[in-house]
Amino acid sequence: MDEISDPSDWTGTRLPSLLMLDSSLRCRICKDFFKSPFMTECAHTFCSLCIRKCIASTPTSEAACCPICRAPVLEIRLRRNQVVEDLVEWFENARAAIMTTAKEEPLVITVPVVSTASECVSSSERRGRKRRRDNVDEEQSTSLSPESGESSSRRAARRGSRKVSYEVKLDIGDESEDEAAPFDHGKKPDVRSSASSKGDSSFIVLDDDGNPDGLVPCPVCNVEMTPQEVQIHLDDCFKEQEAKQANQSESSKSNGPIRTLQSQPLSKITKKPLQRLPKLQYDLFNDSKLRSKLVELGLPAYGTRVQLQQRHTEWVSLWNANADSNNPKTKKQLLRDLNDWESNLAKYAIQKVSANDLAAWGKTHSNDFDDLIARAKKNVQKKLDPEQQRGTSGTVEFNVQSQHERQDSGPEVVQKLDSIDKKISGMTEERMDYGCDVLTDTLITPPVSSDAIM
Amino acid sequence: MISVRMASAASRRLLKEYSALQKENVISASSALASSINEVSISPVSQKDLFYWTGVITGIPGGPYEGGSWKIDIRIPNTYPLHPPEIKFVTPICHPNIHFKTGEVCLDVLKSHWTAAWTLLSACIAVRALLSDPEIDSPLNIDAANVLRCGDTTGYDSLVRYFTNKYARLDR
Repeated sequence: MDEISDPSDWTGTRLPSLLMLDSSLRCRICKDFFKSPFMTECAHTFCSLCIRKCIASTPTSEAACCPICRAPVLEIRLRRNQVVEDLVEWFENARAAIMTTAKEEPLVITVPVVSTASECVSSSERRGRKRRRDNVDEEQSTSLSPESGESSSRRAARRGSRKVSYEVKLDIGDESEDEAAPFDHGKKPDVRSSASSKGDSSFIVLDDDGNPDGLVPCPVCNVEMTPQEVQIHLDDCFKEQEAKQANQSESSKSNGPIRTLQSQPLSKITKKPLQRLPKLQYDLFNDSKLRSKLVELGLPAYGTRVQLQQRHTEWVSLWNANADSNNPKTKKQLLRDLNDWESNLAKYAIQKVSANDLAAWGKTHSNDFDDLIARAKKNVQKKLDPEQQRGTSGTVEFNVQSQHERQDSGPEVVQKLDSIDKKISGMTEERMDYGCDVLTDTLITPPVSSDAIM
Repeated sequence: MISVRMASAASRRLLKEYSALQKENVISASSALASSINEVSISPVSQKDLFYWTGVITGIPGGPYEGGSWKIDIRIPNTYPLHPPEIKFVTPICHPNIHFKTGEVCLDVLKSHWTAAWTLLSACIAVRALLSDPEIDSPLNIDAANVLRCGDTTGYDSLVRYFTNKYARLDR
């Protein structure tokens, strides 16, 4: 998918109420349509990959929780949500078509129905009336001709070509009680040809109560109903549509069983079962074992231990989510995904410590450093003076002094001190460390002498 | 619609949030119903980098923060939405849970309680809600927290009002 779609695409169209349908068919983690949706125990649904990554990203010390309600979630308790998967599939297929329909201006739609000249005239008249209705509300009621006897043919006409159904929708858009009634799904499509040619009179049904906006057409069969009903109705409607398609394909192939929604993915899964990968307790693996484990899985085995762990965790999520998918990718594609993921991570790591940031940080904190250096100098001076007077000597103090003196003495002295330093560091490593400790100590502890600088 | 090629999961999701916000902005501007937008408005700093956003949070009317608007910086990790964005105040603000100098915010949903279902906008709304609901047990601004801990709400209110007027008034 190359385009970024969003539920808010529906706002501003003629079907703003589809926004809720659209957004409830999306994963709350990736904001995309569900890909192999899985349900948690708390009855929230996410993409397989999203929830798996989510669980994998929680630290082992904490229990993973549902991103929506924070109820505890276990990866093995996740269950596939087949209904949602089918809903998403059909909605995604129909979305673009519905969107273009919804975006068109209702009054500009051309209706190339098989029609006579008189029909065209009357339909344009109707449009004109509709436009005027905003201003003159009473006028239209006189010209109504509700033909209750022809409702069945209207219904049948709706099942005709798509163009016809637009026409119907325009006219019955305001008709509330007739369409709100439960709709007969069992209607067979064989009446359609006779109905569509019946002429326009059957379409002219305008409302009496002027309730234009409450109803939404079902995206599949274009029947108008309230938004709440659409949600319930859609499921049936998809199945009906599917059954129709199955019938068609059956007639064309002349054999083969009717494809039902449930049997379709199941057969695919049984065809090519993919093993789920287990999670690892990384504490039980040392570096080389972990490396060989990655090699065993066919993954790159370079990098630090943390990188290895992250890579393995990501791979397990990717792999298991792929195993959940109806049309799983090949391992090569998965490896490419893993590579993309890793290069993105690396990009961020570099970004985080970019030179720019460091320079800015240095600038803002330079005062602090100056302050610290000045204090350290004073402290060291204070501490060293009495000691020198007492005549105590030794490598440690000497070392401190040398470090201190190097900061504010000329280059010749530095050279001299450097050679001394080398000598000292040559003697013992430990003493060098100790020397540094003393230096930091002087920074933290108040000076021994009574005249403190603060 | 914006098209992307091989974007990471994070940037895909950020794109979605961004396009949703843009549309919301257009609609609210046209319908003059801009109440929720005026409270918190966020957008990426540049179109090139979706991982760095900036925004403005306004004070809740009726409280001591009334009339102020604070600029915030939002840094988004590459692992978003699995990990929370970093939200910092750029404009100085006096609040027990916000560091006066660095602008760091101490809020559970931006730390341990973050979940992937949160969005940038909802996180910013949570920050705004924090303004009127300070948590004095985990302070970043100890002085402000101490005033409140002593029960001196009048003093706290006037302190906050002073800093709001000093730093966060747009009309000045």
